[in-house]
Amino acid sequence: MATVVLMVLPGMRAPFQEASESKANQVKAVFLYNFTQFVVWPQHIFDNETSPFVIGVLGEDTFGPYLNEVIESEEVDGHPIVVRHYKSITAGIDQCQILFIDSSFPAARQAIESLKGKPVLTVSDSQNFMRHAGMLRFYIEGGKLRIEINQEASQRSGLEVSSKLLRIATLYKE
Amino acid sequence: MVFRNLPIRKKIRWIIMLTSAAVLLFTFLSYLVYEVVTFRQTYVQQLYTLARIISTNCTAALAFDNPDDAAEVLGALKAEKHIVAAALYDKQGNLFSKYPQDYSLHTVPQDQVQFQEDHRFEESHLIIFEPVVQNNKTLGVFYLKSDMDAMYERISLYASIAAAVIAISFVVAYFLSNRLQRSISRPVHALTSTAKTVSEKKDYSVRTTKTGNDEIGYLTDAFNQMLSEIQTQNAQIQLFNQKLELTIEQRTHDLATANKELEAFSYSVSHDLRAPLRSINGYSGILMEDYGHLLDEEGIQALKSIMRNGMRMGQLIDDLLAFSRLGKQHVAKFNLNMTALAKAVYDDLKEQYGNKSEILINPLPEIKGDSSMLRQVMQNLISNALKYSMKRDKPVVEIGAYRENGGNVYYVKDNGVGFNMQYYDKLFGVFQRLHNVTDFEGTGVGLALVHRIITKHDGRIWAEGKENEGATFYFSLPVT
Repeated sequence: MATVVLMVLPGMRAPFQEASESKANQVKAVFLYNFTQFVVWPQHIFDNETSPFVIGVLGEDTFGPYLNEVIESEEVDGHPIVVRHYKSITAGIDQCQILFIDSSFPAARQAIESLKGKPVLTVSDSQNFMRHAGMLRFYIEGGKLRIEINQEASQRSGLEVSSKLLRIATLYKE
Repeated sequence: MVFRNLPIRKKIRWIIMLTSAAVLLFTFLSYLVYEVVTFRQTYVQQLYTLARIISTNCTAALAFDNPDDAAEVLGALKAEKHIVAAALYDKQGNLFSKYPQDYSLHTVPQDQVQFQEDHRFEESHLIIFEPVVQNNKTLGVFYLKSDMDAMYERISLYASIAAAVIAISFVVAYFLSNRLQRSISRPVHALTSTAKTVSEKKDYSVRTTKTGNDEIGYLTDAFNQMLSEIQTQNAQIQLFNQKLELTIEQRTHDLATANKELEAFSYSVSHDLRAPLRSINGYSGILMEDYGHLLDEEGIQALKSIMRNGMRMGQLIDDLLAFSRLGKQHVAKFNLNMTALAKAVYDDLKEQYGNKSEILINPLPEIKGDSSMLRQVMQNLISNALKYSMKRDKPVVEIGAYRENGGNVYYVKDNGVGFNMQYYDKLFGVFQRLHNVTDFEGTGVGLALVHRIITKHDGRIWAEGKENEGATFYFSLPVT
């Protein structure tokens, strides 16, 4: 199933990009926020009750203002959501709860490696992301933004993905 | 068939059956109302639960823009046959997914979407809005529309059970009332049939059997008591009647005996009076004939007075004898020509009263009667009429008849001195005279005799008169 989707994708991507690149990024931003509602992080990751919930963006910032608009004044279990941008793999990335790795970022595999065992939900729209043991991947199907999930990878990191999310997503088997 | 004319038996049966049917009907109706109300409440809760399940399962689909998944979840509603339509709206109120897939768009609401739990009944449908919430975040709203067929099915099931129960109850009530009404209708019926026997056969000896100590029992007692009282009183009345009859018989017998004795007495007295009178009359005649020339004028007058009074006494005795003889005389009835009789009597009498009266004899109908007796009647009445009108300038006597009450009424009318109705009672008595002997001679027996004859003929006699204006004597005789 996953391979079929992957093969179809390149052809589908062109019109989406042309028609409304910004619209796609807007939807991605919303989805990133929505993941906070359908994924459960272990409780111990926060230092205290007011510690922020961090959504990190590694590499090029493709969201522009959208992500900040979406998360503005939103919380996850009382933890205010903040967005942090990383240009390279730094020590700070393991402080994120969600890390979006832009497809233009060349060292996605290294980034994932460095987060191994850490409760960080890794997300990308890169085609090869799943092969690098990434957890969540955006792709386009039928003009719509779809999600692919590597459930085993998320479980290994101590993340609990809601069955509702699993149902609407494509499951990736290692 | 008017209810109030029905026998009590049927009345009671109808009352019981109608009452039980009405009670059942009202019970069922109230249960039905209760059922409908609770069903609606329960159904609303059920539908909310269903809506909550569906909406909970649709959160991811809404959050990650996956209408296909939403459609799949909504498709599960197929299992619930009463769900007419369902729709999922996103946060902006735009239609996200609907069920059934081919359900026409304009029938699901587009503008009146509400983001709070709400329900309403609309054209026999139940509509529910249930917000789609994930972690306290409202992602959209779920619209659910169900028909109320389940309720109608329930109501119709209920109605058919009710109809069956009422029908069965009606039958049971019929048999029950048939049995139970007897305790009332039987004693009443017994009472009625007794009353019937009493009124139809006049049998007061019947009694009704008492069945209980209720009002009917009391009525029965009172009725029986009344009957026995009537019976006792009847017996008493009968006893009195018998006694009375016996007394009357005794008195009649006594009276008849006394009458006979009296008649025998007066007959013998009259008869025995005749012999000395004959001597007085005979020797008075001899005295006048042989020694008249020896007497002076005064002596002659005295002798004439003796002779006249002797004659008068003889007449009196004759009349009395005739009167008393009537008592024993048998009435021999033959057809009589009354017109001829009246004419003959008048012809005999007219000389005696100066032949000066104008007489008018109308045709008189024939009658059955004793000829000599009725001749005496006519003679008395006509001679009276002639006698008492004689002193008039133009005496008129009219004899006539008419029919009345199945009998003939004959009358003799004159324009003579008449009489005062005040003394009417004395008119037909023996020796009763309304006028002086010096004015009108007579013995006072005539009308008494007439009265007796007419009575013997089962007729009636009466008179009308006024002083100095004449008198009319009527007598009626039955036509047999």
